[in-house]
Amino acid sequence: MTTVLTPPRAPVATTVAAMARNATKTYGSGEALVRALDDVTVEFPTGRFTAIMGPSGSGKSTLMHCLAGLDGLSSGSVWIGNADLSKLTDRQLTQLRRDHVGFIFQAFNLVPTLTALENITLPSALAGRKPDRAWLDHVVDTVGLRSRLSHRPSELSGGQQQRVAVARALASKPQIIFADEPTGNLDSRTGAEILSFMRTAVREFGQTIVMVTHDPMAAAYADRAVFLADGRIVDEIDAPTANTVLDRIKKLGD
Amino acid sequence: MLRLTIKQLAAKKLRLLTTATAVLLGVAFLAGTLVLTDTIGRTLDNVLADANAGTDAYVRGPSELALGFGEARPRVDAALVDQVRQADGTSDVAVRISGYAQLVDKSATPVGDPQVAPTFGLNWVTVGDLNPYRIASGHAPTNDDEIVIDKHSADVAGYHAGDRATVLSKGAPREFTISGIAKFGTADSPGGASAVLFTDNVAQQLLGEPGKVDGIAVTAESGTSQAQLVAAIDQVVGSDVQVITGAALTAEDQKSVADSFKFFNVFMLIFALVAVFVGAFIINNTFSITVAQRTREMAMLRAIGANRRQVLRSVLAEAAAVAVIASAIGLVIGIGVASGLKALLGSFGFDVPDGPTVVSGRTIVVSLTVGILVTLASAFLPARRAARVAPIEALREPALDNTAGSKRRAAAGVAITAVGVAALLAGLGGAPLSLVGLGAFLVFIGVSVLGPVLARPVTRLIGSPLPRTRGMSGALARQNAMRNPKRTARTAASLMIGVGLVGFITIFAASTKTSISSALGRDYLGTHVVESGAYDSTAGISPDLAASLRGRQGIEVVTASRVTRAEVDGMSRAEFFAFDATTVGRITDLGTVTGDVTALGADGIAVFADEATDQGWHLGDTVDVTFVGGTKPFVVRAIFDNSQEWLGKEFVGLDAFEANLPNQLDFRIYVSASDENALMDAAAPYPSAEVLDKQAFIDALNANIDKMLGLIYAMLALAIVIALLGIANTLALSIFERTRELGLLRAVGMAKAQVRSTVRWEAVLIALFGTSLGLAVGTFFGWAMVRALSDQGITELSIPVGSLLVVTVVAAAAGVGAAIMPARRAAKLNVLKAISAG
Repeated sequence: MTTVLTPPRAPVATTVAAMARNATKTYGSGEALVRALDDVTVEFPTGRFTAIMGPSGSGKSTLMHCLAGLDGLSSGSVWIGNADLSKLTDRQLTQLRRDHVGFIFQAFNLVPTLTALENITLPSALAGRKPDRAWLDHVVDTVGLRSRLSHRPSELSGGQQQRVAVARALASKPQIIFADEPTGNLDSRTGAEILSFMRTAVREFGQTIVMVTHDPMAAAYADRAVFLADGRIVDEIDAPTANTVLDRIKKLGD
Repeated sequence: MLRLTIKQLAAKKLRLLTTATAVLLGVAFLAGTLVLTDTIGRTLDNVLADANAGTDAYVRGPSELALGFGEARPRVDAALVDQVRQADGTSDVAVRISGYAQLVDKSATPVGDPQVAPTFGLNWVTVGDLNPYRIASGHAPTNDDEIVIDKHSADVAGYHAGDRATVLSKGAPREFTISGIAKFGTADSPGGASAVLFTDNVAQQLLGEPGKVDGIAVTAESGTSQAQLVAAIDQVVGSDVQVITGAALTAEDQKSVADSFKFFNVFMLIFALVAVFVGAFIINNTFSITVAQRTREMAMLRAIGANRRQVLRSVLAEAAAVAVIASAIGLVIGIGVASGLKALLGSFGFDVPDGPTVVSGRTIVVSLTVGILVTLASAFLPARRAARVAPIEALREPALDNTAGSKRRAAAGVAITAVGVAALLAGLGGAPLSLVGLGAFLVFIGVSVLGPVLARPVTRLIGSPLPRTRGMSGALARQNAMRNPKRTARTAASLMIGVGLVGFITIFAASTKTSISSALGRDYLGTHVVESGAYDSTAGISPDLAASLRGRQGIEVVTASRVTRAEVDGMSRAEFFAFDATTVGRITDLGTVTGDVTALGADGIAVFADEATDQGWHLGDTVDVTFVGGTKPFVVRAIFDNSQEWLGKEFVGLDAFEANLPNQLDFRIYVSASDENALMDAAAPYPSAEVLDKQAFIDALNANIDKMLGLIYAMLALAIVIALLGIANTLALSIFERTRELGLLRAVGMAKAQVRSTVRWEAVLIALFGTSLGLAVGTFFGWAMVRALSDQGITELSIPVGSLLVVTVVAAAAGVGAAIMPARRAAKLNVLKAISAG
């Protein structure tokens, strides 16, 4: 059933993995109009690890949802590779997410009835494809899940569950991975472990990752941090550290 | 707490709607059944009261047996009229003569079907007060060539006053002039029955016996009570006749008609209770799921100070509100259901008389009570579970119950099932028949208790091809069906009941048909059967037909049979047969016969070997047979060991019936004919007699079974519909519970079609699980029933694999149907909201 779902233009690898052009997202109207995204233009280069930062309500999650094709814009456009998401049907968007986008959520990342391995290979199973065995082995070993593959999520710790989520995101070699507060539910040591895996994926596999976070420690693992406030990009820094990020947040708060 | 309950009710409209529908449908069916039976009862009561209106006392022959309505008593001497007239307080006197008569229409087809409503003949009573019939057109019969017919029959047959019409009776077919058309009171006919009214003289010849009457109706002079009149008449008539008041006569008629409808009422009620029973499972399941989903809320309530009883009451109050509203609506809908049931029965050829709808106090009380109690009882266990939620649960992640059931559950399930099986077998084995119902009920409960233990392995097995054939959707569907065995089992249980009964009745019907076909095919030596269409002694074929067949060229063997109600050695026989003793051994294979069947005469009896052994009867022993007119000793002259399926455990010769029964009508004529046309020609003047060759006879018997089977399927359909509603409800609740999971699946690339497919296949698995449990239970019931009835000729257990496969496929398809709405809702889920749901 999946072979008929070919999108008209499969995104091809470009130097920019994803971007937003004049992206605006509003809710409500008149007095109650809320601008979740206000004319945001931003690019996410291939092979880089970008953190989107900002306080609650800054629009960082909305930006990620729109970039990932989970939500639509009021105006402007978002692109993954050379695919303009606003031109795709729901069916094509679904297939795009399945084949070219990876996700790591804060919690509830896994289907409780499936084993760790089944969760990792879920996108390819949904596509009716056999996973790339060698790559899968490599990913599984990288995140250290070899001995846990036949366990179900309820038998895994929170950290292990997130590692499964990372492995799932990597397994299909997506064009881009979106991570939404991936360490938000973890203690700092386990969180650091997950972030290292993500950085490894970028450094060694050339994976593109966009991560939404409000944690400066997490942002320090990224190559670049983009700051959002009131739906606008207000700043960005390359090679962020916890300290530079904290400084920047303090300044924004003033 | 009350306010919270109300808020809950308002917030969960959909969930309430399905629960309420389950209650509502069951109650509506129950109320409909009660309304229909009350309506039929009231209609017939009125007809019977009208028929006896004006009668203050009635003189008749005594009966040794409890008779069904219309069954003849020994007649009394017509000369008795003069004595009765002498009694003090007597005003008017009229004789009553009744018997079998069948009007034939212009195209030589019988008017009315005696299997639906009686077709009978009466004398035209000239005393106006004692005659319930009123001439609508034409005039009363004034000579022996004239008859009056009821308006209903006239309309059906297109007869008018002045037309000539043929009437069948126990004598030769005879043509009359219709002098008038009469109404029964204000109705066209008493309950759809077809009546022909003759002069007294003709009535005696064709319906009764010359010089004799069925009874004498008497009106009292003013100032004389019915009791006084009866006492006065008792003085002047001998003790060999019976005198009763008009009121007692009406009460007796009403009771005998009510008794004949009792089976029908119980039959209908059983299906209504099955629907309620199935509904109970749905209610229980819905409350179980919602209580589980609201664990945190309950815990929060407990944490902030609600005590257990308050939580329990809050859930029960919710159930009570649903119960009261749904039962009330169900009751109202039930009144409409009554006419639907009537139409349904009609479409299967079971016509019931028309009459004003009766909604009795009993209907209201019973329907509401059953609806409310069943709902509360079904919600009680979930409510208690809710009350047991510990306050600490408020702080925990809700743990979903995925336990399959403990050893204790397995043991309890096996024990309940075993008790049910024992009760069922005991009930079928001769213990009180109610044990059968209790046993079946317990088996269903026991298997339901076992359900959760079986759910996981069985759905895993049934679903094993899914991952290969349906990919990820199939694999997820299978996992979903297995993830909460209790829920899957409870959902499937309701379908199990419906399918169990369908499976049982399918197997039972197939076994009956196979047994009849093979027994007849093997043992029946004749070529044809002439059917009367009658089902008891009140109708039949004139013995003239059999007489005209005997000795005719091309017809080798003629065996007439008659049937009556009797007691043999005190044992009741609803169907006791007489056969042409001289030929019965040539028309059917009697097996090994000791003694001589042809020598039965008027006082000999033939006994089936097993029965003879059971009763300790031997050749030459005397067995008392009680007919309506009295008890006579019969000598065992033959013992046979085959063909008892249609001969009965005992039978006598035709001479015995001639000597002991008031009416002589042939029930069937078994014939061996080398010339079918000769048989057809001879039977042509008797349109109510149907000539069937051996195969057509077998087919007709099978067709009767199929007709009944069809009706039962239709009646069980509601239970199945309720069960499917339950599947839809469970899926909807499960989907609500799996919102985030579905959102995740959609986010990582599951297409809407795949989501729908997953929900659909989960429904199919649940349906197939329920169906397989049902078929297992149904097969057992079928086996037990066939085993129990082996001495009544149902000797071969036949499992119609094809039909049961159809049931399975239909159940699976129905599962798909039940999944339509939930699947659509699951696919429409807003991904963003789902993954951000908290």
